Amino acid sequence: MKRIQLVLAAVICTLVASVASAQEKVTLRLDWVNSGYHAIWYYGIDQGIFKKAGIDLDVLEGRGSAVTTQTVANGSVMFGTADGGAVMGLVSQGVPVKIVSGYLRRNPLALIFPKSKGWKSFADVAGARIGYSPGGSGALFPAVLKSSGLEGKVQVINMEPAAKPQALLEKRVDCIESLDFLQIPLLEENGLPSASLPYSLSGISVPGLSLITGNDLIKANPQLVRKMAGLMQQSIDAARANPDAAIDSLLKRAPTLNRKVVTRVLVLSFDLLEPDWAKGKPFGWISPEVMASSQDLLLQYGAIKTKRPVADYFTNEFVAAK
Amino acid sequence: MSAFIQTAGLVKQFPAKHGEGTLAVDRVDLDIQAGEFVSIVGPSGCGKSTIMSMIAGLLQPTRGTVSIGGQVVSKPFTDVGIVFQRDLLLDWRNVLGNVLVQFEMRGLPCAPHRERARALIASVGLAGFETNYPWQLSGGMRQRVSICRALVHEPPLLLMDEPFGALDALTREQLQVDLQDIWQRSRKTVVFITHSISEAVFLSDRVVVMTPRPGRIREILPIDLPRPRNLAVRDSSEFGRYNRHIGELFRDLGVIREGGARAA
Amino acid sequence: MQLSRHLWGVGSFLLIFVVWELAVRVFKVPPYLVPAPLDVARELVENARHLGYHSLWTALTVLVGFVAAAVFAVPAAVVIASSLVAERLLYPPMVATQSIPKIALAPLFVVWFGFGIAPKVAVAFLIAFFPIVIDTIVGLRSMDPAMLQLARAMGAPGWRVFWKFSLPHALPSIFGGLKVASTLAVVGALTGEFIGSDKGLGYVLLQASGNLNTTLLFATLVALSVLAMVFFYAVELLERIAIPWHVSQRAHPA
Repeated sequence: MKRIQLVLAAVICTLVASVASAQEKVTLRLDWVNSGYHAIWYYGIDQGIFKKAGIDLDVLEGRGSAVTTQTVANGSVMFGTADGGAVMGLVSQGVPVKIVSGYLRRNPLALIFPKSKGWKSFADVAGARIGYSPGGSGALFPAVLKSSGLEGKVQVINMEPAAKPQALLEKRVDCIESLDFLQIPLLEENGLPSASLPYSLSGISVPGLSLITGNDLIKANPQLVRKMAGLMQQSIDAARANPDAAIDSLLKRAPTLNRKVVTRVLVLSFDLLEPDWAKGKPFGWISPEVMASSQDLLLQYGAIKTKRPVADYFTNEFVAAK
Repeated sequence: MSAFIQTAGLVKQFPAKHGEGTLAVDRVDLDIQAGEFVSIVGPSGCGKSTIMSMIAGLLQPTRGTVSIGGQVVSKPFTDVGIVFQRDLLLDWRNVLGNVLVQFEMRGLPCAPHRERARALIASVGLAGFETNYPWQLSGGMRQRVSICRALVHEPPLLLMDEPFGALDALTREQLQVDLQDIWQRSRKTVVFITHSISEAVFLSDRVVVMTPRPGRIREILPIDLPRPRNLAVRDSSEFGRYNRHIGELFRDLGVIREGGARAA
Repeated sequence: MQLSRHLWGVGSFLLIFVVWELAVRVFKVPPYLVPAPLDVARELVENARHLGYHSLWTALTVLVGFVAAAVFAVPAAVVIASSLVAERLLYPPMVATQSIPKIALAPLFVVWFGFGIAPKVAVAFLIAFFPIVIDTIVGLRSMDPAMLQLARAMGAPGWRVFWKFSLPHALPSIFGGLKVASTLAVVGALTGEFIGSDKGLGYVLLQASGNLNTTLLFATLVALSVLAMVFFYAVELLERIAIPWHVSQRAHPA
């Protein structure tokens, strides 16, 4: 009798100990392959931010917001970062994910062009050749053309995402649609001073890169979701305080990246954290009005087909109260 | 004494997609005694190969029967050695391996027969070539290997379908002499198909002359020349008479036409 | 004699190297367009470990995809070649699948199978499968019918005829298909890596091109062609061992 009690006690102790010291395994898929702004995650891991909260984070590279959103939806990965416009498009088709925290809430999607062109508004773009990649974050572009009045007045040339900066450098196109904070450092490193016209100028304003997760996980483990949103903010703050160290963390995983370019990208990304409509609100908060008007705009220009309750696209319940 | 090979009213009609089809062989009756060397000569398309296939059991007759040794042939008859015009040797085996394939395909062990195979290969003049591969041999040598393969399992019956047709004239003559030697030593029953009248006369006890399609037997000619026959016998008047006779039969049948304008 | 032939080969590569280097310098070609070969060589050396690591991953994908294709394609071809029913049933869907460009299927595979090695192996497998099947069928069907008659007269059952006659006879054709498939498997693995992978030379290519690092891109291409050549010549070596008797393997007259 005594022996069995001892064994039972030992087993229970081991179980408790293992649970207590257990790190929760969490997977996160990025929107694209490693780039400057992804340093926040690697820095957060290296600084122990996630470990302290009991999370063993595994960061995986992606292939565009659409693919990342789909892999979050089918459960093969727990969290993802994806462009708000791409997410809205997929959610309106019934994909079961939600934005749980904004990140680069000022959307960096823009038309990027050589500074020498001196364009000040979308009207100046008439007659230009535009390099464009369909799908994912490119889904908003047709709507932008319509709302800016450029539809039919420009020549749209399809190309692979990776080919766009090169096409601009070689003047095969007059401008490219892409994320300005990514392209401008790259273009200028290769000798072309550049500027951009953000989509928001044409009236299309959707949240940019955001943290997303599947509706199932929100229901099953809301504490984890809240934790992740908070830890993302902590990582961003840490990287802001020490961008060079953050880039070191990034380069450990991606040694072939150009340090100068990725540092600039990271620093520029910090300008995208807080758009005007988010002033005074907690980090990651998404404005329901902005989402509603975004949906209306996208419906009007045919970027999405089905109107849904705005609460289908996002939730602010995990965003820390200010 | 009943014949070793008997065909009775052998008919082969090949079906066609539309209409009646081709009558290849029309009521052939043959009696071939054990140990006889019988040739079948005829023009292309007269059904000689078809008859051989039916004797071997590789083709089913449309009507009539074939029996060998008193047994009706209804499926491939395997106690036989076959030699085709193409030597059909396996490129990936050497000479000895090709000869022994006869046993391997029957699921029999090769080891007990190795010595006999070597002796056979030597007997056709290929001693020392056992480890050579077919691509290293001339056409005549390859056909000799093919003959060894057909004999190594000591079948009572040898079927040969224009075996020397692809060889040059000199090699052909040599092989005719060699074949006669082999046959004289073993006295197997041989059914030999050829286009060549002189080859048939040289080798055979009897020559079966076929008509053009549909193939019927025009005549069966016994060849009464003494054995062994050497090449000089070809110059004898006896030989010439047999040749001429068969030639005349073919002329009558319209197989060989002389001079003047041909019928359109 | 052999040595001088190899020297010619090396010489031609050296010539291209020198001309290329001069052209880039003389015409001041920007590095994001065409890198100088010396820079490519330096990049190769500096990133040898990085490229080596990713090359191994691509090699693994190619190997698994190729072997899987061979293992399934040869029996499939045997079934099709020996049964008219099988041919009528299997051939049309096979041809239809082949006509679909795999680059269109790859994104679907990523969503279905995730980002692991599975979608890349699937693409490599699908691309490599067809040429092996076709060439195997050709090899099996090119058997002289008289050969089969000979086999029947020897009383051999069907499987023995297949194993000792048809299959060895078909080997040269099969190897032709395998050689083509080996290079196609590399293409397939690369396509899969572009679309969904964080390992492998396709991933390195994507990252390099997205960052306008054309020097790294060229260095990766060098690694890639070495990989493809290794596979091709490995199959050729296998061929030499398996069918030394075939006319294609015999020494050419000097």
